[in-house]
This record gives sequence, C-alpha cells and structure tokens, in this order.
Amino acid sequence: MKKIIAISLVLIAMLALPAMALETAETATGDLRFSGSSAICGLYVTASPDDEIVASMILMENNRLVARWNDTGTGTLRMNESYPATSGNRYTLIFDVEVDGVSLDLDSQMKTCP
Amino acid sequence: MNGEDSKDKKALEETMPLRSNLQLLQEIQQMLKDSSAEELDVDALEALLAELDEQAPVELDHDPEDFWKELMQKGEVPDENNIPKRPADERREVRWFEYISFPRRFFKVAACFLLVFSLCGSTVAMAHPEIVEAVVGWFREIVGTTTKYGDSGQTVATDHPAATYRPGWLPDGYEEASCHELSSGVDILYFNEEGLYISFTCSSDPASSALSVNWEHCDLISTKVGATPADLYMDRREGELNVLVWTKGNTLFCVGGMLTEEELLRIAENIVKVSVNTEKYE
Repeated sequence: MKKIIAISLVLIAMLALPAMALETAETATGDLRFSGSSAICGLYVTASPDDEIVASMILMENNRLVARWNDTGTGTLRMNESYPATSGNRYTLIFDVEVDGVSLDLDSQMKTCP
Repeated sequence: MNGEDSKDKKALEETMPLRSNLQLLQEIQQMLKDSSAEELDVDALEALLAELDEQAPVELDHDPEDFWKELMQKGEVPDENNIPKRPADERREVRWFEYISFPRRFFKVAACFLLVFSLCGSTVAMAHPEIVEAVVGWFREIVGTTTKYGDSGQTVATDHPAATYRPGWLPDGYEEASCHELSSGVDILYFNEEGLYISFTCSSDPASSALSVNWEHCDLISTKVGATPADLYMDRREGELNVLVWTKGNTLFCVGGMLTEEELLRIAENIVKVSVNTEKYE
C-alpha cells in the first residue's frame, strides 16, 4: 500500500513539473480608441522571456467583421493597428491571446465612433 | 410468625406495582385536607414524601413543545385536563446569553446601533469623492487564476485625457523601447542590454481598456503602494515575470518585469504625472 502511494505521489509530481515549467504570470491589455476618423486597436502582452505569444485582434463594425490582425512574439508582443471608422457606427474589438499554448482571457471592448 | 409476616409483606410490596406520582400526590393532598394540624400523621406523610422522592421522573410519550405545535397546526383548543406538563426534574436548556449579566435588551439595542452606524457609514462613504472613484472606476474580478480589471459600468469621464504617468525610477540599464498611447493612458516598454524588459501600463478609461493577469502557479499577494492597496503577482523563480497592479483614483497601473518585490514597489512609489509624446515611436 505504501509503495502504491509513493509511486502515485512521484507520478503526480512528474505530471505537475512540466505544467509548472510552462505556466507563469502574464499580462494582456486591450484598448480601443478613436483618433480623428480612425479606430485605433491595441493589444499589449507581457510574459516571461521564453514564453511564445500568439495573438490576434478582430474588429467588428456593427456586428460585421471588418478587420483581423495576427501577430506572434517571444516574451512581449505589442500590436497597434488602425481602421477607418465611420461616425455613429459601433465597433467591437475582440482579443485572442495564447501564451505557450494557453489561452488568456481578455475582455473585448465595444465603443461607438463619435 | 412476625418474621414470616414481614417477609410476606416485603414480597408483596415488591410484586405490587409502584404508585404513580399522581396517586401519591393525591394521597398527600387528601391527608392534608382530612387531618388537622394536631391529627396529622407525620410519619405517614414523611413516608409518602420519601416514596415520591424515590419515584422515577415522569416520562412523557411526547414532547410538550411538539404537543403545542400540533395543536397550533390543527387549530384545536387544548383540553385543560390533557395539557402535558414539563417534568419537575427536567432541566430547562440555558441559552448562552443568559450566563451574561446583561439583559437581552442590551444586545437588541446594540444590534440596532450597529445597523444604523453601518447604513450611515456607507452613505457617507459613497459621498466621498475618492471612495466613489475607487468604486465606480475599475472593477476587479478573479476567474480561476486570471484576474480581470475592467469597467465597472459607471465610469467617470477624465478631465485630463492627455495627462498620463510614467515611472520616475527604474533599475539601472533600462531604456525606453516603445511607447503606445491608450484611450487615456500609455503602454511603455523598457529593455536593458541583457534583453530583459519592464512593461508599464496605465489607463484612466476603463470603458476603453481591459487588463487581464494570468497568474497560475504564481502567488497573489495583497500589498500596498504607499497607502493604496495593490495586487502583487510573484513567480518565485528567478528570471520570470512578476507583476504589480493597483488603482489610484480612476487610473489603473500595471508594472511587470523580471524584478524583485522591492524593485516593483519602488517603481510604483515613484510614478510621476507627465504628458507623453508618442509620435516619435510611430
């Protein structure tokens, strides 16, 4: 019985180690603003130096997909894109961020162009 | 003969059923009623009282409280002769506050005062500008191992959208590499020669910005930047990203880097208000 418990603990530790090696703290900031007649879409991801970041931004204009940007980086990723906006239209910016294959949940932003 | 008689009497007493409490009480009552003070057979009375003392306590086949509850539910009026009495030796349960000499009314008055104080305090707090900013600005939500900082839904418009902040102190060797304007804030990235970096983000517009921190396998520590509460995400391993997040007024601050807790707090305590020109990076 003791052997089974010991082996189980070793297996659990072995399974946990790779996960601990992969998962670290990471931050992501998403931002949507209007400058003149442009919608400025920003996504700023910071992770540990060896972390692979894969991110994309999707811009919706009145529930219609109008732009999609993809980018990758190691450690940090800064995305800053613009799209010609029309006054009165509602824009939604959706973020998709993965750090070392693990998805990072970031709330989408919705604003109406002034 | 006398010896045999007494044995027979004792045997008879043992086989006879004991008289009930009620019977004993009735006999005592009758004896007291029938006899004057001079005629009273004191020995007999004492014997009856002794027997009464020896009697086992009356065990009711139902709890008196249940009896009353049933009657209340049925809406019946109880029969006076059938009201179960609580046994004389049954001890009443003593509640904790009865051990205290204060009357129960004291606790009621104290509870009322506490309620009024809480309501007044929350009303005053909501009227205080700084507290209102803290409540209506950024909200913080922890979902699993992700902390989300976002719009509380009651954003206050900022008076100075062009004004922003930046670190007034950084560890030696870090240079500004990129700066991006946010709706009402900035994202700045600093690098050193070893390729290590510090990110600084601030935003005063929760309606346009969102921040998420994933901190699986990290420690989330409550700390303070000056007197302001802050969230410190510490990865105990050297060379990994550590993050400090706090809000002051309507502005959210986030500093991240391969830094120690002391370095992060020192950066946070030396934030200065400036106007950032982002054009040179675009």
